[in-house]
Amino acid sequence: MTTAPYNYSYIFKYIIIGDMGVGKSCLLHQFTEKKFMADCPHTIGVEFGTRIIEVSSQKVKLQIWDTAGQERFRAVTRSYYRGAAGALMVYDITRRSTYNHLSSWLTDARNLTNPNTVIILIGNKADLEAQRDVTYEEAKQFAEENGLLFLEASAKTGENVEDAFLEAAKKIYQNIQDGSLDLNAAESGVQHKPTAPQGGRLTSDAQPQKEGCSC
Amino acid sequence: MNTDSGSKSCSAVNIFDRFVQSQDSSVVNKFQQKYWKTKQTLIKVTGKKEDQHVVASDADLDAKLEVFHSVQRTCMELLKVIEQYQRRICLLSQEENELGRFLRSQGSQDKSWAGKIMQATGKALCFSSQQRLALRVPLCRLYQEVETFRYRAISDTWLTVNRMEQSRTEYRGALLWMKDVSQELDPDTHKHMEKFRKVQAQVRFTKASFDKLKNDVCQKVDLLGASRCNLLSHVLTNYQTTLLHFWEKTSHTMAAIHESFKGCRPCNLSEPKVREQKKEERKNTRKSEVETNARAICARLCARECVCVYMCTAHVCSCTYVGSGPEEVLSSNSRQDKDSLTLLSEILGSSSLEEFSCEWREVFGEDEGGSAVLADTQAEEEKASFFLPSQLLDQTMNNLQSLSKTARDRSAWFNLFADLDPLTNPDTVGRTDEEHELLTA
Repeated sequence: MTTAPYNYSYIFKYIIIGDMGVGKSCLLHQFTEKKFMADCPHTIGVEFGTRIIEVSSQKVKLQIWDTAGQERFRAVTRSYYRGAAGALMVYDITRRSTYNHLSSWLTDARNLTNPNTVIILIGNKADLEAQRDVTYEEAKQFAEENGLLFLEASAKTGENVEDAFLEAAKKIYQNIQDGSLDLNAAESGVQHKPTAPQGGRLTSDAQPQKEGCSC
Repeated sequence: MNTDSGSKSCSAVNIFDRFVQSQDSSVVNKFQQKYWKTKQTLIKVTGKKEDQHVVASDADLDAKLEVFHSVQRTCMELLKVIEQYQRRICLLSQEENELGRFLRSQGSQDKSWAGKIMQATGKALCFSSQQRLALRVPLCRLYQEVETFRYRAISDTWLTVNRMEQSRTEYRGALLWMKDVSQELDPDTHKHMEKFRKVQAQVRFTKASFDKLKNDVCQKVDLLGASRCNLLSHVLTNYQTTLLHFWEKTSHTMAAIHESFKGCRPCNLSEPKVREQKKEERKNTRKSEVETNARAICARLCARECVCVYMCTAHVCSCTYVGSGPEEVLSSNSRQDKDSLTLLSEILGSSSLEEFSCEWREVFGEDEGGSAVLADTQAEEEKASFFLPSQLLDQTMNNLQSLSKTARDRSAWFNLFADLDPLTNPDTVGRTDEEHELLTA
């Protein structure tokens, strides 16, 4: 993670959605801090995290919105879907109910984001194999039926956490390359910021790293 | 905040920012909080449809509130019922007494056996009317207890409920505010983030306070229901005992009168038929014949004087204890020549409670059949329970094995208390010998 400003060409907005307690905040924390946060309080509304990754030798800043899963925040979090380039839909492999609610989350995601938004299904807590309640196969099938990427991950061990974010980024970048994602569209979820000062927009954020920090 | 641990410098700056913010804009902040709270209050008051998810997340709390309001309402109703019941007891007792006096005065003018019967019955009625008034004492006690329950327990819970509602309005107001702020939110814009953090802090604070009060309310309502059951079962024991004693005394009196005068007056009474019936009674199980006999004999008496009208309604006609051997008929015949006054004092003087209890048990047995009949009776007349709810609680707790018979007879009672006592499990309750203890008390 570098702290030099403007060291990226793109900003992708991600949102993390899913039932309360599936591990959204932990996934984010593992991705940005490379640590597992054992005592995680309930997210109030939304929390933010950022990290710069590299996709096809392009530096991309990921602006990640970790939304609250509690039902009472549903109306609030619906506002956050707008302009998301990628969505991580998370469920807990040890709790069947979180898997069953996926269709509801998917509906929201499809309705509130643009059609090109990349959605990736994440089965979290893969380290708890003994308490598994959802098989890999059925989730894979669900993902395929709905055109979603799919990975099982573990925020605790870090397994597949990087991959989850990277896979989505690759897909988004691919969409940009083949033109299906219009960078000029209002809510594409992607901001193009070429590192050369004459191109792109210079926004008002003096220290993007700090604001985007998930505090 | 959640993900602070790695970026200490970052969080320190943010904390400082927030501190500065809070110093400068506390007035603005408070104003904003008030604005959103008021907005929510308006929504609540005008009955506008609220966000379904917010409402759904409070489903269990709302269910508890339903229970609470039901307890409130039913306590009020119970008080009214007791009041009415007491008034009616007085009225009934008055009427009973007047009838008794009328019979006595008319009977004293008649020199035949009819006159003697009327006098004896009249005296018995006067006695009964006196005894009936004794019912008011436990009823009064019940009234006071329920009243105290209302003033203390219910109003205390009500206060907590109100505080919770206030907190809920604040919390929902804060959620509305957060929704508003979230419409335009860009984490890379410092100003946006400032605003957002402010709202987030407010939501967090009000949520904590609401969650705590929500738990308080849920606990208190549970406690309220359970303690009311407890209260009722304790106080109703007295009432039940008093009622039983009343019935014992008066029905025995009436039975004795009937017995002693049986066979003396030919008109409207077909003696052979009565004797035949008695023989049949001894042969068949008493239980199945009880009601038929009671009604038949009552009807006969009722045809002459409306004496047994009270007993008829109770279905526990004293006249069923007619089942006597020939010796008793003879002895009753020998009493013909005695003065009705001496006769009455004899009747009233004899300590026959044991006998009565024996007969009661013989007729109704020790299982639930009898008390089911009684329970039905009670259900018709009063809302008070003949069966002790505390038994439900105790027995459910003790996980009883024994008598699983005719639990269906209790279903009416369980339904009555089902919504009051969350611990009741109607399907597993049986009975013990506590009823027996009461009778011999």
